[in-house]
Amino acid sequence: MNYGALSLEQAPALDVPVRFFLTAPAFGVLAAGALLVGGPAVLSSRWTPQLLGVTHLLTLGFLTVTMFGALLQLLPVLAGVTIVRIRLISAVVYGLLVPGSLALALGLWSGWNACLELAVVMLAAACLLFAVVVLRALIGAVGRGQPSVVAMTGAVLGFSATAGLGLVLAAGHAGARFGILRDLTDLHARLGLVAWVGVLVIGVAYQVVPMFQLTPAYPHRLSTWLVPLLLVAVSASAVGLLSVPADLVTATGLAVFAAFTLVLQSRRRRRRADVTLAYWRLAMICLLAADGIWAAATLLPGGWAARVAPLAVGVLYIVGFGTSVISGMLYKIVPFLVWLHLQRRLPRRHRAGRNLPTMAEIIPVTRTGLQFRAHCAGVLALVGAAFHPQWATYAAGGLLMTAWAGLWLNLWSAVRCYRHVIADSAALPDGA
Amino acid sequence: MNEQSSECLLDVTALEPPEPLERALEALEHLRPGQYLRLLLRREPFPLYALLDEDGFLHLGRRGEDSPYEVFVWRRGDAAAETAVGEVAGE
Repeated sequence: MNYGALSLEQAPALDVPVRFFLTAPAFGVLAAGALLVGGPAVLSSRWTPQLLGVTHLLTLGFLTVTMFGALLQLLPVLAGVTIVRIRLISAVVYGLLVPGSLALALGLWSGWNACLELAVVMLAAACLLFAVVVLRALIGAVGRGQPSVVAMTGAVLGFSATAGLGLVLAAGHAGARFGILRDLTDLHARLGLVAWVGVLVIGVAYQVVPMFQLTPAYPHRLSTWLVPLLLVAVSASAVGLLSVPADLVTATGLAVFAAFTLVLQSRRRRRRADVTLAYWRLAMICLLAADGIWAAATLLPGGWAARVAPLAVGVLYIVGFGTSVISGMLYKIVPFLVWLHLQRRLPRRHRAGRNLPTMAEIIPVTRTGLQFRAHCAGVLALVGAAFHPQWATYAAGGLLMTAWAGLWLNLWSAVRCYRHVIADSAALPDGA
Repeated sequence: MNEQSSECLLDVTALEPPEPLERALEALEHLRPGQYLRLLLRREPFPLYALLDEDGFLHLGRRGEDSPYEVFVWRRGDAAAETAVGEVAGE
């Protein structure tokens, strides 16, 4: 039962969440630009300093910035969770995370210690503040046993472990006495990609795939057990317990999620063109492909598995799966927030009888189709570049830069639409 | 929508967000004294509550009988509608 109402005061102004969401594609543009500047040498091995820089522009700047923004802003909507002083906390986290991510990427690329030291301080503060605030809010809701809340909690714990290891590694790069602890790199990457990105996407999918794509719900048994299984498997692998079977369980779990999502989407109730659906499908196909290469490299280790497989898996997982899901979600979240804030900002007398823009009108479908095609071509070219850097690196950089600049422009057009409607409403006389 | 009784029934379970909220706000514009809106939904509509509060409506939400979730909405100060909701919802 639920009497009463949530306070409007708790809802931050539109610019607070949108700041996070417009920053993500800007980091994508930077990453693609770095690929163009560095050229094929960037992808010559997974250990090049340039690739470490580009990877963190994407994992921190594109994926984590959006995921932080989404969790801070959407927890009240998805889970009914209230975060106290959300405006202030969002501003502080953003103000630390964004320059910290830039400093880390630049420091890794160039080897400048001062950049890395600055990054460690800023990112440590951002991650600690975010983890404490969100975990506190989630723990209040986790008792309800909602699978998506359990998954979000697991993801934030996974993020905390990833961030802790990442900070130790970055401090090593910055010249700390203990040096670069290479053994931690794989663990950091695995936790970040599976326990943070993978588990959060799964938790969000339980809610948003049925909600926005009008599919049947995920099977109860799957939504209850998949995330705990993935977290146990990735933790076992992390401490060196049954590493190969644990990795195979992780790969199978992610593949089952991707396959179920594709099956559910094929059974959706409303069959109309939708860019979010297209992005989710691309993401699930890339996740399956990444999984297949990962499993093959685990079962058949050798020269190929050591040299090309990590790059191909990284490209398919981070760009093909991660940035595709995020792009698809941004195309729903930003117009939805614009719509919601228009409802809240405009007095009722101004809303009544007026045709406020619908979701489809806030970012027209004609603008998103071309952007999606550029993204697909960019992902394909980058996968090609993982195998043959000389052939495809520049094409991948150019296509992805076009795609992510297009994403930024499309999201910006939603903000402009909001401002126009508000300005038009302010010009109306009272009682209009 | 059935407007014969004090209940206006609106099933938005087959709609994609934010259409359920759009339809609900539109239906509330036509609510007469003594009437309440019974909204059938696929999930709890957290963003709707703040809009209802601002527009002068009260609500009561619960797990639905004919849908995963349902919300009763009536105008603040409309005692007849509130009594009717109480009878239907058993509160």
